[in-house]
Amino acid sequence: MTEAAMATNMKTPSADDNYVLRVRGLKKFFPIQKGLLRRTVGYVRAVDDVSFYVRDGETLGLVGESGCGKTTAGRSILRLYEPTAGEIMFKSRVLSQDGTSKTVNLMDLKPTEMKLVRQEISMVFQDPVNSLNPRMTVGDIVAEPMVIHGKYGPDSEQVIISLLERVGLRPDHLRRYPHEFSGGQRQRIGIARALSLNPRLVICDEPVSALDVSIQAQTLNLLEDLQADLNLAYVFVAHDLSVVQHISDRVAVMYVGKVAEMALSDELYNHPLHPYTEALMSSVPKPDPKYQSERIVMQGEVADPSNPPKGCYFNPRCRYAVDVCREKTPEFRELRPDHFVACHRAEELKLRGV
Amino acid sequence: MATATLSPADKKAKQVSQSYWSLVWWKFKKNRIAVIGGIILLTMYVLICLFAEFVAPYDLERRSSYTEAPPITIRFIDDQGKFSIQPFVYQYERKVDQAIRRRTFVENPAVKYPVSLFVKGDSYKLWGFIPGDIHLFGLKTDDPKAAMFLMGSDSAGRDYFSRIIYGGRLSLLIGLIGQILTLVLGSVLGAISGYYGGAVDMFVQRFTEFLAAFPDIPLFMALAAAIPQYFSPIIVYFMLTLILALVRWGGLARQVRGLILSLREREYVLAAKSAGASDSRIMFRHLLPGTMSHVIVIATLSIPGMILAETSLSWLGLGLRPPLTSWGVLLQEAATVYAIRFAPWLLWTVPFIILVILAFNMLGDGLRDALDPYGGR
Repeated sequence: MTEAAMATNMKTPSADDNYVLRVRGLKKFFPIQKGLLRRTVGYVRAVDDVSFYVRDGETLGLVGESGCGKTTAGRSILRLYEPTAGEIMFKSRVLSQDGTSKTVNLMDLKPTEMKLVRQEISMVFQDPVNSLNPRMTVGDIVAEPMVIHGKYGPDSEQVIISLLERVGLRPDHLRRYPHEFSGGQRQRIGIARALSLNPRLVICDEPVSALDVSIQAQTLNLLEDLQADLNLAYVFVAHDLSVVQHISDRVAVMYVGKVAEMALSDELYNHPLHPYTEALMSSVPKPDPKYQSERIVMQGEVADPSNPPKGCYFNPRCRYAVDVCREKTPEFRELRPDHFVACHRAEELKLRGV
Repeated sequence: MATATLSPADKKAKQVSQSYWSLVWWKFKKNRIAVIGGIILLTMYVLICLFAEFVAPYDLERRSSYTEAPPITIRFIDDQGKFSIQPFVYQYERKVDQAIRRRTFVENPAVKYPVSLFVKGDSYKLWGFIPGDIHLFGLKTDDPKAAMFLMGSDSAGRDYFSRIIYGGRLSLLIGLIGQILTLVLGSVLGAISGYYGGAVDMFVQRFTEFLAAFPDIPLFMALAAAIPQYFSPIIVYFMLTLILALVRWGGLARQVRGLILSLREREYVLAAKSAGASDSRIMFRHLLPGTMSHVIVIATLSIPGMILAETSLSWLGLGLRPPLTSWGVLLQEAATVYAIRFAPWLLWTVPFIILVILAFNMLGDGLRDALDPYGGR
């Protein structure tokens, strides 16, 4: 890997100290191996210099097209994939002795410390069928994080039962198997599992994408209720813009491994600063039959993350691209308070929101 | 939100759910052939492996003067046409066949011995420590010349039926123990290989290929020949079991690896990882249980191969040797033209072997269908 590729843009989101998770310059490159000797011939830049932060008790939506690296970014936070570079600062309670929060870089933690931190960050997965072990009962599935961390005691069954009730399941579901539930119910089981150790941060990896629309709404409302009750922070990975708008306080838009724009939800939807965000917003369907759509149809294909274009990764498809866009990688900067964008022409362009 | 309390009685009443294994059992029960196979095997394993001493009418090494006596007939009607509810056998009478210059035995209707259940006979120690002398059936008489050889006797005058029962113990157990060893080795190495991938996978896979590329019989011969002659027969027996397992785990390991490769991409594995589960927990709690149904079918269907391997090795004189008695050893004694011509009852071992192998195949086929209870509903 070249030095240039490893170099991390550390100037991005400084934010205040009011965050629970702050990611800076996160990179995850997957090697492309060829031939008998498995020589590395290149890298897929799945996550290429991503920076964002999540405040306590808020929801950060992470949106983008398929393959833009949003899931990889979510998984890299928990080091399910070992990040190539970057900094993942997390305010951990378990690692501090005095009961307050201690800011740690997850990248520097020893495996034993990382295991402790896993109590505070949990995950909800996309596929309600695949994310529950078919050979375990619901009780065992929800209890597993407790068992792993040695916190399963005689009262734990009661805790699990109240968790099941909290997510809208019945106590007698405890001894049933996943195949007996519908998709929405299974996702609730997955949510109960994520909550079993009282986490501070939950990474929701497209939690409603596999559900049908009426169930999506129920699940989203459940997630919002839980957030209000338990003061959870969410990183909400999704590709459905209306879902993200509904649940997120702030939204980060990703394109080919990079964050194009990050802002408060309303600000981003109404006043996008990045041409890619504008194009995305124009694709949101409006529930108004008289509305004449003015969709911005993007030309060309999504850039290949193993061979991204020079300059801004979006330049081949951008309506506003000029020479500088084809030469220089734009910096991810805070243009307005709490509104970050990576575009050379952000100041001059007047872009349309939803 | 109602506070939940669940009394133990409640829990039991509410357990309406069907676990995976109860679904399997439900589906298995409906397959009559598989159930018959299972019952045959269960009966054979219980009677032969656990209670051989009790089931066999004579001790394994009990010799008599009736050498190569033909099978005797259990009768209810005597030569006068009188019926008795108590079965009986006639005494063996020694004759010399002048034409072939051989000693033969014929039945002598003058002396009758009654056959009954639970008779006193040779004393034994069940499982090595429970002394007893009651046998399931036998002759109720004190006459030392009385003998009942259901399947004839061998060249040393030993009851062949008793020898088949005793021999079955070793043959059946070698299949079972050997298969369990194979299963443990194959699934653990397969799981490690599939889960870790990379160099570990490479090493395990090349090693199994090396084993698979080796011709079986010469490998068995070499390994069996490596067992020192002075080892006690029982150690030889376990060494042989071990050899069979060591040669055969590769195929299973490859299948387990393939299954693990697909299972490890499931999100529930990721969920366990994200919660901080250790590698061994993921392998043994999440991945291997998912392969078990497949592994059990493979194991069941390859036990016959194990039994046959022991039989053929012993038959070739490379496996067990007397005084250990297995079906292979018994067959070896029968493997002469002389035996087939003059003592064909020494081939009675064969139907037993065939029965066991058929039963295992019936059971295995049924299990294969039953272990996928979610499909075909």
